[in-house]
Amino acid sequence: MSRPRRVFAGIWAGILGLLLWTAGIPPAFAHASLLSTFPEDGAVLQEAPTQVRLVFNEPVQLTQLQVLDGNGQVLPLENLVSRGEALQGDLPQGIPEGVYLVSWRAISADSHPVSGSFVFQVGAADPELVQAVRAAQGRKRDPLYWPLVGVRWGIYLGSLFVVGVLGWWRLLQGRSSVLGANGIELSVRASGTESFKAWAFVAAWLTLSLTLVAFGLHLAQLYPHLNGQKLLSVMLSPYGWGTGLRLVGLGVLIWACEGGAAWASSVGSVLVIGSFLPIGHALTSEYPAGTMALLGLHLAGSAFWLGGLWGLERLLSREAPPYPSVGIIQRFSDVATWAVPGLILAGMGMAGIHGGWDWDHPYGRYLWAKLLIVLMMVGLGAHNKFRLVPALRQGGQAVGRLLRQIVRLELVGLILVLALTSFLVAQAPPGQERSSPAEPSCQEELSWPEGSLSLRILPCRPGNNRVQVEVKKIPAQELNLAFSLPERGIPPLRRQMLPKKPGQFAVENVPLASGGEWQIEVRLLISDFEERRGHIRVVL
Amino acid sequence: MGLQSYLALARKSLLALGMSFLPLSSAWAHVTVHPQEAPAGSYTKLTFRVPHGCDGSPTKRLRVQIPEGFVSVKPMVHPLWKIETVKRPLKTPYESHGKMITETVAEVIWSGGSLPDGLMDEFSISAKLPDRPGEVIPIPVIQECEKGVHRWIQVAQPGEDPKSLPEPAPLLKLTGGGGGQSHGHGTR
Repeated sequence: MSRPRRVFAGIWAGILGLLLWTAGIPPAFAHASLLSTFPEDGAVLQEAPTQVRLVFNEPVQLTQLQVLDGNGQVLPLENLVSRGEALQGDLPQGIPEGVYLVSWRAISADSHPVSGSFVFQVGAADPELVQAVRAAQGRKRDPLYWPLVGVRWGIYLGSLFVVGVLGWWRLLQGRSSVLGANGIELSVRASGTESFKAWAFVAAWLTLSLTLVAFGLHLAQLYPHLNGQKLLSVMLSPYGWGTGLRLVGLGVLIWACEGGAAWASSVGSVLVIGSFLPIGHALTSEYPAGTMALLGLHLAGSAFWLGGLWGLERLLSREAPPYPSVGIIQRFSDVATWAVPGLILAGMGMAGIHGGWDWDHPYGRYLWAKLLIVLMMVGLGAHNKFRLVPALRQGGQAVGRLLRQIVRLELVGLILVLALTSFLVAQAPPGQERSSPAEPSCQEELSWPEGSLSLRILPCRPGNNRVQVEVKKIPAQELNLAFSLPERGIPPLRRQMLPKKPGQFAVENVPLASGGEWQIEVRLLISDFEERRGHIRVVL
Repeated sequence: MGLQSYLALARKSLLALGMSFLPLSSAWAHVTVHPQEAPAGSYTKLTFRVPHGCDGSPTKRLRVQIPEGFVSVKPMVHPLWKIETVKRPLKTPYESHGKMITETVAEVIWSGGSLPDGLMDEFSISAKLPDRPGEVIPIPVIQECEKGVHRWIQVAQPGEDPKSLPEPAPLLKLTGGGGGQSHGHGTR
């Protein structure tokens, strides 16, 4: 007995250590990630900026963009523009020196509200003041973050539990009918199945309520800006569809628990599992269909595992040697032999699609933590299958008790894994950040009958920019560019370039000082006496 | 709107006003050809007027590209400047004074002199103009200075205001009813 105890203690210590470590992983933005801002977070600017600008990894709908000065006064923003991934607004002219806080809220493409803030400074650097403003903002940052993580955990746990327990009940039913034919202890098992159904019934109701609470919390995040149109757009978004599907699925499962039709539990299970597919990062990943299929497998396997472990625990607690249900336990063990590796592989594949195995990213660290806990549980499960279950056939109370303890440990591990998952899905996978360019760039083409030119501005933000030009099909001797911003009265700023390589031109540090529609006059000398001209417009 | 923003507005308006005069002020300072109109098919003396250098730098070299269709091109003697011509073969050779003319002048180059920014000069050629009445022909000129270069080679695109071009090519308009036969020379 002492050896298994020590093993338990070791495993517990491992799980606790992992949890402590994951607690230190910083929470990132959910779903839509902010790629860059102007001014940058923590920037110290010598001159007052004329606008603020945010660039996300996916299109977002801005619900709030606020700039507060050091006294907490809101600065009026004009010309708020939301162009897909980029949002911008004009600041009042010549804002005084000081620290400014920009806070924003937006709805991402999958209708999850996201929010955040950043700080910039005009004039002399004052790190202490920046720290103070940041800390003040940090304290009041999204009060609904933690409630949502908790509720999400409850929903995962509840949904998988209901689906898993009902599946387990089927397994048990199949077994008991065989046993019933043999006429052994049918009544005991019949009462056992009733209790499973009661648990599933309660869990389904709880999950249904939590789903509604989560929906309410999401709406609450939008609160000051919520109107009928936004409500409709959230309801019609993938998130809204998923929520609706889950409510229907849970309703069908509740009905199944109350003795509904024979198909009810399978249809309800499919609906509940399916309700998770359109939510989260599967839809926005590179291979939505494949990712959703993997996610479905992953969820079905997890449900089977959770429901099965719980069912095992109930059976073992009820029975004494010679363990009449050992056949059921064996059967669970057999199914788990392919179901659990399958679900792990599906999960790893999914994470691979998201490019999630990245240690430098919070998502990657959650993922590794999850995998480690799961592998520990697989180790325990293998121990059960190859040692304890055969031993159980021989009878013996000690074996039964040990098996029950291990099963409990696995259950706890699984619940923790689900908790980790509810954090994991709150992170945007690194793959989705990488899939969009880290730096926005403006690229424009000009073409003439004999050839063309493509011009690229990096990083395409107010400030110093690099301009790259590639000329195709025409000999290019010299390139003249004149940058002007008529709307701000900025006269043409000329740059003359010779090709670095045939057809390749580049110029650094072009001071495109202000945001707006820049006019670029292009003069390309193609022979001593001939040039091609054109106009390019670029919005910074 | 505070006083400051009014001031900023005033500053901007003044700048915009100033800028709107910029093209006007430079219009008289281009390299131009004289006369600006000549009878199509005629022998004409064309004079290129160079009114200034390149941002204060003296002019060292002037290159004039002879447009297609101009024949019998002869640069006028210009003291202190070296005169070169670049030839190109004619697509359709012609006979003149019993000789087959197979090539023509493609470019005339004046070099070796120095024309200070504060002075002006004129460089002349004579040529037989093409017999295409009504046509406006750009004659591209490159003005090379000690520092910098002006390429008077720009031609307005359809829909473009010729006055908006910073470095337009000198334009020569061919008028109708030329004295093509006046010298009894062969036509093309």
